[in-house]
Amino acid sequence: MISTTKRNTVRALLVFAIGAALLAPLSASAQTKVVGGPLTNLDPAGGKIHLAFSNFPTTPANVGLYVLECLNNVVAGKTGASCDSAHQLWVSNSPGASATPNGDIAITVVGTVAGTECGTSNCSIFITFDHTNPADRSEDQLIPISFAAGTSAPVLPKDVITATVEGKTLSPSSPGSLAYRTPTFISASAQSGSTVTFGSSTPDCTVAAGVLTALKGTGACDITVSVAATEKTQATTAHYPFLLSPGVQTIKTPKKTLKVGKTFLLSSFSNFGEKVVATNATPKICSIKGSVLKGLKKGTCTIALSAAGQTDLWAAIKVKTSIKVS
Amino acid sequence: MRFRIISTIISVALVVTCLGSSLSATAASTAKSVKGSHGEILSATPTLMKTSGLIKVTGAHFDETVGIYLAYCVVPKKGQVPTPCGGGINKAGVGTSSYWISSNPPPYGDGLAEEFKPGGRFSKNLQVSLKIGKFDCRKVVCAVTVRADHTREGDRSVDLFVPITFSK
Repeated sequence: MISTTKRNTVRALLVFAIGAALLAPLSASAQTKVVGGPLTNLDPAGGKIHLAFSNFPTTPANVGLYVLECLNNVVAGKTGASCDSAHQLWVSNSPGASATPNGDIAITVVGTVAGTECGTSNCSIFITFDHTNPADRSEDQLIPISFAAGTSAPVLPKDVITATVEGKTLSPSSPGSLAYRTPTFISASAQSGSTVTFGSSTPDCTVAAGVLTALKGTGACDITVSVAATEKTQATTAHYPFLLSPGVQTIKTPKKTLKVGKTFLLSSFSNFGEKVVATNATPKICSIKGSVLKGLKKGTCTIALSAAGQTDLWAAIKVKTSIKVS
Repeated sequence: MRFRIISTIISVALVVTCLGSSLSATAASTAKSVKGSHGEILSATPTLMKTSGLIKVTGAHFDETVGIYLAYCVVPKKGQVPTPCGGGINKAGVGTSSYWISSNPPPYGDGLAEEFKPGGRFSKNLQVSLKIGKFDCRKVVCAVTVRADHTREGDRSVDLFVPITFSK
C-alpha cells in the first residue's frame, strides 16, 4: 500500500520533471490562456490558425502581446533570427494593433521559417510581451504546430535591415530612448539596396523625413522599418522599440550686457510654450516690467527665469543669470 | 452733392463702427477660455461680435497624440456630435472656417493636417458667422469647437466649446 503511494509520487515527480524539462526554456507561468486551431496538418503554403485569448495581461497598463511563428529554438527577445516576422501579429487594445485581445486572432503560418523546413516538429506559435514590456519573459509561451506533407511556397530569405539613430545602431530587442519633442534623426538601409520606409505602430511617436518625434514623455513606441520584396529577398519589416522620457525644457538666456537706461526683452515663453516668470534679485541695479528688463545703475543685475512643468512631459525649469549693467 | 455728403457720413459711421469692433476685439473682457478634462486650454478672442468676422483662437496643453478639428459649430446637446459646423470639414486644407490639427495624421493627411506646436499648442484665425446654414447664432448657441478628428470618430471626451455671442 505504502509502496504504491510511493510509486505514484515518484511517477508524478517524474512526469512533473519531464514537463518542466520541456518547458524549461520558456516561462511555464504565462497567464494568458490560448485556445484555437487547427494546430496540425497545416498547409505549408500558407495555413491559417484562429486563436482566442483569455486572461489577457493588464499590467503594465495597455500592455500587448506579439504572436508569431518561430522555430522551436527561438531565443526570447531575439525573434528576428528564427521567426516569420512577415505574418507577426500585434495583439493589443492600442490603436494600430493587428488584433484586439478579445477578438479573433488569425495568424498565417508558412512551412519554412528562417530557411528551416517546419515539417511536423520544428515550429511553434510563439507568444511574448510586446514592445511596451520587452524585457519581461513571463508571458512567453510556445504552442507546437505541425504541417501536412507538401511543398511550402518557395520562401526567400529575409532582407537584412540596419537602422541607426544619431550614429548608434538600433537593436530590435533592447529599446532605445527618446525624449518628448526632441527631434532625433533615424536612418536605415537594406542589404538588397531597396528603399526603406519608416513607420510608427503607435500614435505616441511620429517619423517624418527621417526625424523621429515623441509626442509623449512616458510609455513606449514601436518604430518600423520596411522594405519591399525583391527577386532575392522577401518583404521584410524590422521593429525597433523605444522607451519615452520627458523632454528638456529650455529658456533662451538673455544677453550679458546692458547700458544704464536701456532695455531689452526677456523670453516670454520656453521652448515648450510655457509662460516664463522673471524674478529680480537686484531691484536697485535693474527693473523688470512684464518681460522688459531695464538697466537702472551700474552693477550686476541678477535675475531668475522660471517656467512650470507638465506631468510626464517636461520638468519645471529655473535659470539664474546675471547681466552686467554699465 | 447731397449724395456725397450722405455717403461721407455713412463712411464715417462705418469707420466708427469698425473702430468700435476692433476696440472690443482687444478688450480683455471678451476673451474666453475653457479647460478640458485632460488639462488642455482653448481660448478665443473676441467672443462678443457685432457681425461675422475672423477671431483669434489659441490652444495649449492639448494631447499631441490626438488629432483634432477646430471649427465653428452649433453647440449640440451634451454628448452629441457637434453639428452643423460652418464650412464643414476642411479637406482641402485651405480657408479659415475649419482646421485639422494633428501631429500623427494617417498617410493621406500629410500636408493637410497641421502639427501641434511643442507643448500641444496652436494659434489660428477662425471665421465665425451670424448664421451656420439655417441656424441663427443670435437664437441658438454657436461656439468655437474642438473635437477629435475622424480617426477617433465617436470619441466625445475631447469636445470643447467657447460660445460666441452676437450683440443685437
